[in-house]
Amino acid sequence: MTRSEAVRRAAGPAEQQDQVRRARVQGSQVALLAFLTLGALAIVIPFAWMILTAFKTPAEAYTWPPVWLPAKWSLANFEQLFATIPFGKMFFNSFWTSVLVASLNIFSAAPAAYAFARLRFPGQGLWFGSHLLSLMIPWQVTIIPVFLLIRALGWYDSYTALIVPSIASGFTVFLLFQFFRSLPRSLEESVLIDGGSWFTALRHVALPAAKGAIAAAWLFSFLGNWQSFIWPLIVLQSSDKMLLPVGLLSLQNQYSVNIPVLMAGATLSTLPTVIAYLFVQRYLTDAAITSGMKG
Amino acid sequence: MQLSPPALSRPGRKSRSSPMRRQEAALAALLILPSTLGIVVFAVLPIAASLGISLTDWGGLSRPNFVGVQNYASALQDPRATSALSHTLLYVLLAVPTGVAVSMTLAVWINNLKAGWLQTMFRTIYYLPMVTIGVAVALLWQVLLAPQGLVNLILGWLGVHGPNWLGSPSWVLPAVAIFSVWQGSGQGIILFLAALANVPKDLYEAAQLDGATPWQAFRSITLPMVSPTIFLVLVLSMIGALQVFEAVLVLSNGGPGDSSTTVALYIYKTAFTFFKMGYASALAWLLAVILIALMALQWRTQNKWVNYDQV
Repeated sequence: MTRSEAVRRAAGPAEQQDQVRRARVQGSQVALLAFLTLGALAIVIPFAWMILTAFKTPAEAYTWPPVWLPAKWSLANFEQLFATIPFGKMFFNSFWTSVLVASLNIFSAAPAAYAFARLRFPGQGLWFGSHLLSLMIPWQVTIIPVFLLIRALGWYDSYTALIVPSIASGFTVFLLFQFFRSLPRSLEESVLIDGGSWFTALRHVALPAAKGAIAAAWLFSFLGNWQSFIWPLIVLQSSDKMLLPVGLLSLQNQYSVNIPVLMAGATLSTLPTVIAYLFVQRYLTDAAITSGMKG
Repeated sequence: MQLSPPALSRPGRKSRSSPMRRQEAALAALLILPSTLGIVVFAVLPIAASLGISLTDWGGLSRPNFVGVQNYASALQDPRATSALSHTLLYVLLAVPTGVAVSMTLAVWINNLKAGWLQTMFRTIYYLPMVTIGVAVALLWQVLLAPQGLVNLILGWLGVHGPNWLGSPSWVLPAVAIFSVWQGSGQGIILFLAALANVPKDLYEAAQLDGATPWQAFRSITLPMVSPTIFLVLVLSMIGALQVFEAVLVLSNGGPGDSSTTVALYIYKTAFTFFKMGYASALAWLLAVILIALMALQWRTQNKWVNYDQV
């Protein structure tokens, strides 16, 4: 008889039951961890494969059975990537347009969201409804008239075509509307009672309180623009104006390009946001939850 | 999801003088002007314009002629349109239930972990594909799904001879669905996790005291409590899947042949490769009608199985 068995025998039935339950909970935790790790590998291994392939020679990338590690870690694929498309330029284009559009979204959406959440004015339901409508209508419906409008204005293949239609964002308005509505009224009301205007209440009470929500909305909007594909695909033509997603797609159509070069491009365009995400993930998760609620 | 209209009437404000009311309205007009202008010009008016264009034969360059509902009539007879629709529906059938089941299962598992840092770690990992550029990860999956790619290597370990995923008419849509589940489960997971965090813990304690097994607790507590979220994720995934575009464009460009040409891809090609703007607009409206009908149908049937008491 081992010591632990002796202890168990000596213990009362209640304690014994408790021990059994604790062992079962521990066992189920291990099982959960095993399943979740398997799932996590399904996410991580493809990314690892992408990075590893970016360093392989074409021969290594096309061999069967596949090899995991390159024999020699060389940057040749990255050099070929930069020689084939203006990758740095495309990256920079994507970056500054995303920063600009995200900021314009906040500047247009924050005041509107506040007005919809707090003020009373004629046409309120109609204009708020228009914002919701813009969220719900599928892009296939609006993209053709907007494209024809852009072309008629002579904006085709310019950043104006990219930026101007994106200034107003129904989603950002909705996100900040939800936030302002959840804000307690008491602070703003004390400003009003003291004779301040709604504008003072907005500037000195509501906006400072909304810093976190605005940061989340900005990040979410930045990410959306960083990822946006179809509108840049349609309105931007010249390769030095292209944004990263369409630029990557154009890489696929080059004769000289092989799998390792494609993976070098995929790696360089994936890693920055993935790394940034690890630092700001809490903000983004909050916005992502609300983005689901918008339905 | 639950959206009450903005506060239109508030008690205790009646006594305020009308100059102040006017001042409030003027300020509001100023505050909403930039955003509303953008929304009206680039969303509301285009919706109306699209309806108009769909009644013409506009090629984008020539003068449009009014043709009535002819575009809608020919869409219903167009074999490429109907086959695009059936590809889309098959894709929805493959991707949506799998995606909802996978994200729900993973979220329940994460929620049952005791260690908070492990919860955060797994949630973060599963959300990673959501923050990448879609084209980049689609190109990655093109490599993984190649006949001699990683997916078939792993299937080979399990004794399965993997197909030529993207090169075979019958495997290309399942392949796109696998990619989409991989890419999109993170969104469902965080929505389910948010819902699971709101389930009162004492319900589980009470069930445990009553001798319920974990499975019984899941069926009689978790499932009814998160059913509004199941419904939400289902609707969101269906809306997304019915419009699948980027994934098929990059992974297979609608091929081989037309076997993975979805409705959204067909609309895109009709409008921007063949410049049939009138016909493409009609197709877009037919898709929009299907989307709206599905949403309405789900709203009507949800009361039978969704428990909204606790939200």
